[in-house]
Amino acid sequence: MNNLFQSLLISHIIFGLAGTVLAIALLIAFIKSDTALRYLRGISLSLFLSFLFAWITGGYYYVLYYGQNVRPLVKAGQTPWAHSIFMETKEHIFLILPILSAVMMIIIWFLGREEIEKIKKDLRSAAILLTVLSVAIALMGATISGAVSKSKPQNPGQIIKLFQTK
Amino acid sequence: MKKLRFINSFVLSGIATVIFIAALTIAAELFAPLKDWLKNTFSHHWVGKSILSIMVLLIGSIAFQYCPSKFCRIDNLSTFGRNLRILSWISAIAAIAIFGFFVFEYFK
Repeated sequence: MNNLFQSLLISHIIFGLAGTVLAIALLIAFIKSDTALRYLRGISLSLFLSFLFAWITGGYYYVLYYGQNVRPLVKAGQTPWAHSIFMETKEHIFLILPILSAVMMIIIWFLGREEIEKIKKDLRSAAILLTVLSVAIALMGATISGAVSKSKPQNPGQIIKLFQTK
Repeated sequence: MKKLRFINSFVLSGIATVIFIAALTIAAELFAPLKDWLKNTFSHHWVGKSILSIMVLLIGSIAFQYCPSKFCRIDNLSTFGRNLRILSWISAIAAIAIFGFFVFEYFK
């Protein structure tokens, strides 16, 4: 893997994890009784931007590198379900995160303090979902990374065989 | 009220987009021509799904602002809260449906 794809992958992981932490922070903010509106707006904006950058960096890596170089290894390795179930699920469920976080951000930025207090329970539910999905996607990413490590061929002959069976 | 209508249109559009993502994901796996169309039009099926999702969100948010239907109307904050709850539930169901589909496909 060259420096570009390594950087993209690392950036994707960092932005994704940052998004997960920010989703938890947003949830905690909606659980507490008196959170400053400025704080809520800062968190929601940062959350959306984190998922947006995770989307872009992950997308580049996935489209230009993962499909040709990593997927065959995982599918031919000991844990093919890591791609067929978890990677496929992750790449599609992930699309929901920027959508959901964009909607949350618009709500928080355009509503006033009193209005947010009135619908706090509903905002909390949305934040719970955002958190659960973020954590689930992070765990799926970790599972896939583990599968990649397990799939690494031991010798050059194995590498050729894996690509021939693709 | 105008402000609430504007934000509500995003929530409704969010609901439509999440349903669209789940439906497109499953449909593209079941119907190869659809996946091929996405690949040929957008260079990769996942890129196509990403771009189309953004388009649905943006176009939907404009359309729902001018939608005359009773469903799109927002009278008060509690209606808005209800729509937000619907978005949360639809997102959860979509995520479970996508996961369940790929588990089913793997063990089929």
